[in-house]
Amino acid sequence: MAELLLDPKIRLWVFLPIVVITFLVGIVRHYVSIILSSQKKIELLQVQDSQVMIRARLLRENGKYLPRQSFAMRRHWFNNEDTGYFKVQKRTSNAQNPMTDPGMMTDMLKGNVTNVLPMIVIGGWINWMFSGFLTTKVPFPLTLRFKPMLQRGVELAYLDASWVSSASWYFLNVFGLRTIYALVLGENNAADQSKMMQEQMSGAAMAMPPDPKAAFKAQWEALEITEHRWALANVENDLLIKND
Amino acid sequence: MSDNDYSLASIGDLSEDEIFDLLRKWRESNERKSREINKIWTCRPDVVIENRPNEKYLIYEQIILATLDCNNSLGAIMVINTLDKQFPRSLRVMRYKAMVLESDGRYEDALQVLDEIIKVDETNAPARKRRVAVMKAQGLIGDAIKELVDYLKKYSADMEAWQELSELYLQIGEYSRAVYCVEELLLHQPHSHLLHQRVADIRYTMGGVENLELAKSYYCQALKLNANNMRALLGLILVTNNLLGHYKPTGCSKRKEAWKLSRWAQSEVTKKQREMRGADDNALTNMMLSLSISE
Amino acid sequence: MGEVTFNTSAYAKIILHAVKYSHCAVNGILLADGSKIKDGSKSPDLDIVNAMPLFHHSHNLSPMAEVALTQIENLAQTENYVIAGYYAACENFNDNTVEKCPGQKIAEKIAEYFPSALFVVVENKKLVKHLTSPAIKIHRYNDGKWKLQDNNKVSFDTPFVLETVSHLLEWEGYKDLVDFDNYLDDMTQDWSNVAIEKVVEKIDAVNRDSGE
Repeated sequence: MAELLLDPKIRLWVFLPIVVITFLVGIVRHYVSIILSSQKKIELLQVQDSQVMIRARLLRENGKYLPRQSFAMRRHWFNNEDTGYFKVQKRTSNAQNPMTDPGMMTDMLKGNVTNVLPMIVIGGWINWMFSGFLTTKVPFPLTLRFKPMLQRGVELAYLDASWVSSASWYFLNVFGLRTIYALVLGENNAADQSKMMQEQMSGAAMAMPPDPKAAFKAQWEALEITEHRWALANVENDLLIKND
Repeated sequence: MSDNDYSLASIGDLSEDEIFDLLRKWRESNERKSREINKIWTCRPDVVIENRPNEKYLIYEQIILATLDCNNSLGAIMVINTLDKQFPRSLRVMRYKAMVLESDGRYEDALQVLDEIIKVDETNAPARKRRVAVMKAQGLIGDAIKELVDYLKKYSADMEAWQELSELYLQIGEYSRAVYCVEELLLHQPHSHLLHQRVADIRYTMGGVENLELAKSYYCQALKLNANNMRALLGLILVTNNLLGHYKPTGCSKRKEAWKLSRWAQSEVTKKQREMRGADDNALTNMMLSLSISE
Repeated sequence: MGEVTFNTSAYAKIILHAVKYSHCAVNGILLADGSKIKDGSKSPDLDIVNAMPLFHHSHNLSPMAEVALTQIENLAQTENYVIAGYYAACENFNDNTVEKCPGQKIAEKIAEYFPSALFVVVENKKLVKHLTSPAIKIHRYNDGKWKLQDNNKVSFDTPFVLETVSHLLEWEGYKDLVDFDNYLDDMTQDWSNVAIEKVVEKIDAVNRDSGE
């Protein structure tokens, strides 16, 4: 098979512009999101609840280091039928539809404006502008499976899989420039899109305010069935044996 | 000795980079070093903090605390004014202003500023804690405890606060409450030998067979976690000797165990002493002999 | 009431201890020369020859205090000293009263065994770089109470005490002071502070020469 030769003009007018454009867009995105970002307001009650949950969890995990009486006292404080924290504190279930909360709506909108929108617009534009070029070749052979990933927009069945099309080159840049952004803008910058993506994946659960009522009930149950096993029961013997 | 490789006098000879390195080192290891930092601020006008854009605000905060510690509130005010221009409505800067008032003894004004911060941002934990500090500075231990308990109702996972509350309770002799606070710390850091030793110390101070037995267990745990905890070792000797006096003289397995522990701890102390100073000095050993009860 | 005389190094240790941990409350034990105390007199003259710095944290807890006191007792017996008093500095800058000091129980215990014991409170406000006054308040146990003594009844063994201690402060001598807490953290350190005694002697000698 004859070796393909790329026109040097492709390097100048396709390969480099895509790098520069993605990089600059990242920088712009960083500053736009700084302008748009709003401090998240936390409510005192939320803080209180989350801290109580931490304490309850720790009591379950490390309660064995306390004497039985101290452990029982704390569990009583959490779980007592009449006065226990998890019983007395009535929290309304506020896992409502985020659409009803205007604050959250704007937050979501801002997220979309800085993340999804540019991705679609720039991606679409690049696809349209630079479609159909091969831009570069990776210096090692690849299996056919890589073809859809690296040769988006160039549907040639017999082309070697190590060639990279312009649209794919754009995506490679979007993800590959992350470390460069960290270098230029410092850690935790907003230009890092792949991180945003990750957050979207796992963030679905995180963004939703945890339902305190359900969480309380879960903690209450977990505490109820926790047995106290005094961890220091044999420590004297251990110490003596260890040092004999 | 890392503590003595610089002195107040030598600060004048350090280069700018060395000074920034020192400041960073202190910041990272949480050392207050107020005398030294105040000296840097007052005696080294050639060190330009503005040149360090990445850490300048951290350094400014360090300086504010140090100057206030050294009763140099003018220095603190200068720094705060710089910060104020940068961040005109910052609650954090406001808190420092409250601290200046506090150091001048204007406690009421300081409380007022702190209240304003809390009004704007009711989740501002540092301001709430500062209120406790203001009361403590006035010597109002009872009020400080009340305030701190209120704070802990909301921020019940704040370890610093539990620690402070335990100290305050100790000051007024409320040992059982102090134990509760330290136990709370223990839940967070179950592998800290210092906390185990702390619980044991308080239990020993409270007295009574039950508390002494708990103290014994906790001292043992502390030693298990760190065999070099001298306080725990000495405490163990005290506790076991005390328990020996409480138990019935014959046929008690607990007594046997306490006796064994006591012997072991004493031999351990002697060993440590030898390692440290050579065999000729046996001051502590003498003391242990005088403490030990003949079987 | 009998007179109280402070040895320079004993006084220096008190001040250095308070300065080293100026952000904490500190306490310690005062030792008097046993051979000079006349039995029978209700409040004898006291010659404070040594001070043993104890703690700067964990006050109000008994275990380590018990250990320290037993050890000091041993030392006192071998050297013919008498545990004659207690010194303390308050954590709060403004406080300088016995009631606000840590470890009053220790002081009362001492008074049980030595009825005319001293309670020295460091006056935080008078601690300055160049001492102009002794910066301590001396109380004596009398009828179950700590009675403030007239500072005129306090004397030092040399007239240059304040200069000597000021020198020490200037040379950051407080960094070398070791209290019982430091000793427990690192047993190679010497909490009887012989090094400081030697330095004090040297400065004293220089002062004496220049004074003559």
